[in-house]
Amino acid sequence: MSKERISNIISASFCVALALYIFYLTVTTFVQDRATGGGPFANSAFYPQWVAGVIIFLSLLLGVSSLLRKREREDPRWAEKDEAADALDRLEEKQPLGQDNISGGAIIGIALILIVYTVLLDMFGYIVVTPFFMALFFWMLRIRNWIAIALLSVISSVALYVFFSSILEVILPPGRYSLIWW
Amino acid sequence: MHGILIGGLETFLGLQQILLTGLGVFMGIIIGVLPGIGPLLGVILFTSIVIHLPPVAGMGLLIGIYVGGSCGGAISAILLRIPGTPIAAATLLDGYPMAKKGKAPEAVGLAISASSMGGLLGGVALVFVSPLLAEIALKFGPPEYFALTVTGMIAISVVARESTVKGLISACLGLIIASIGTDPFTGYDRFTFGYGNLMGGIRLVALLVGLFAISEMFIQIEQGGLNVKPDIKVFRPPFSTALTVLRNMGNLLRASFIGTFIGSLPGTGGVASSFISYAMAKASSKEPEEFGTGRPEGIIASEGANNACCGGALIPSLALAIPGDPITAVLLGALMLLGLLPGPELFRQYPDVVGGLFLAYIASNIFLFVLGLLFTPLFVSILKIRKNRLIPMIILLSIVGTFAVQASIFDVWSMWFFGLVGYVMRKRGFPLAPLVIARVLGPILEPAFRRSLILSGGSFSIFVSRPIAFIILIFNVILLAWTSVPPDKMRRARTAFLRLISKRSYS
Repeated sequence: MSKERISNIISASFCVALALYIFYLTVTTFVQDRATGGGPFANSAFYPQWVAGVIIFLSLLLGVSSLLRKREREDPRWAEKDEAADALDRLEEKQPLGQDNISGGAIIGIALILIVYTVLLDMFGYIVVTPFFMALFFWMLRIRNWIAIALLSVISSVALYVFFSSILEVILPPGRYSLIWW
Repeated sequence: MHGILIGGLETFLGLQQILLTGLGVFMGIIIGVLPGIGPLLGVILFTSIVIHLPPVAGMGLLIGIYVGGSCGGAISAILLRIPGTPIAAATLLDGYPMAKKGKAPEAVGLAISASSMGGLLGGVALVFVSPLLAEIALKFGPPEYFALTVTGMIAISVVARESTVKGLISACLGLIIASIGTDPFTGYDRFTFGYGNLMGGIRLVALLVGLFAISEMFIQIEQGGLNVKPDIKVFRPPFSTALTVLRNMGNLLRASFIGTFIGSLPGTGGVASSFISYAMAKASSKEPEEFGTGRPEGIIASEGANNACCGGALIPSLALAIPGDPITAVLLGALMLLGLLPGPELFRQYPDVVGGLFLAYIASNIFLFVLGLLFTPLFVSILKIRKNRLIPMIILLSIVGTFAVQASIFDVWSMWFFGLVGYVMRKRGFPLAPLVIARVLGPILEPAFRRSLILSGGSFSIFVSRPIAFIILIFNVILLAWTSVPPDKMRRARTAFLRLISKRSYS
């Protein structure tokens, strides 16, 4: 079985599971909370149940058609390919450019840095954490000129801070422990 | 309609509104030029900022980004042969050969002039047609609205790249997401698992930024080419290109008509309109074989259509609250966040706001012409910005913007969650557009569905016994059936159709 078929079957199973879970919630917690009695007006579960039903139907359709399909389907949009269609494909499919690619491990590393940044942002506040985070991020994306890193990270953090706090009058995360610091 | 425009003058003619609209166009062109971010991401990223502004000024900024962003992609298509946005793909067919011949300034000038004029013609349609449509829609009741909203979701799903079924599943997931939070009828908190943060539902900004911006940035990082700096010479386009466009009036009018019409159909958008317009211009030209070698007509056809498309797309979005593409869906979402419900009632209750939006759209296209041609050297040099400088800044703006909506770290966490969801969905070939449209339409669809059934006392016959609702639902069924035809048969039918409309062999 081809990769695409397996991927479709996994997606379809996941969606069926999700829809069944939604259905399960509507017949358990919804019922306990007495949110299901009466007609279309009083029944909060009525509409989600319908949507979940449609998801199950469509997912089964996707799964079964992936199993039964004889050959891989082509993109039906292009009868004849020209240069513009090719460019569009490249743009939409995001094929690797083949220049200074970053390894999969480094990409997961970036995702982890973003998570850690969010936690630290909540704890210590925007202005303390952001310049360091930005510097690290730029470095992960292979900028190796330290002056450029320092300038870019400080300027971008401060500019956003000034824009949001003085023009839009929004307070950026002050940090829970900021009183200890200042 | 007079009333709408005069009311609009009052709300739009103010320093803040005009400046922000101009700023929007300026930012929009930059966003369109930059690789990887197009008008959709631009509108999403700025939605988090706009909700701190008054409605017409805020929407003016977003409409400006929409218009500017729909043109900016042409600059990179012409100079680098890489369209900055998908809708500019057809522009490179003649734009790039023209640049190769040393006529890059003319090509960029043509693209900007044609976009601006096409956009203005689309604006004329917007101003004339949408009030009429809103008038008709005022007579609709809940069953008609239910049927129409379903059409909007089916239409966006059937044009999905991979498969209609995946598009429809994506739309249903959007409906489920929209149903999280307090039930509008009973006040019961659905799917909140006791979290107070979920009572108001998933925040639209967190959802959009996560799904589109975060997933896109990760895909860009994966794609590589982070440190590439193209070698381009900066130039200034001649204003006389506007005259070239005017001399091609027939071509421009056809492009604008196609763009507006296709834009106003739900589901289709800028990409289809520019390709069809290009094909039609080629088919009706005396020298079709010259197309692709650097003909100005090719650029005018593609760029005129994709900006006229913006005006067309706004027609059903504002008048019926049925967005035809994800960008107008986000615009509607932003309008709702600003406290205004789009649809026919908006035309009746707030004609001055509607007029202000019309004028913002028209002003955006004038700004596009002036700012676009004046600042071309700046926009061209922006092409030299490397991705590894850009991506961290966009992610920081995403985090800060999402947080700023209501000073909530929870929203930032939801943004990360939906970033992951968006990434996985894209990798598995599930289109994101139907999900977003369904999330925006969900709060309209559910009340329409339940109110219809309340009206009929729980019987589904109400959807068949009311003629308009019945006709729309039959149309939905036909739409679905049409897309389940195998693609090779469809291809033959489509080629035959194109032959028919162009009366020439289409190759």
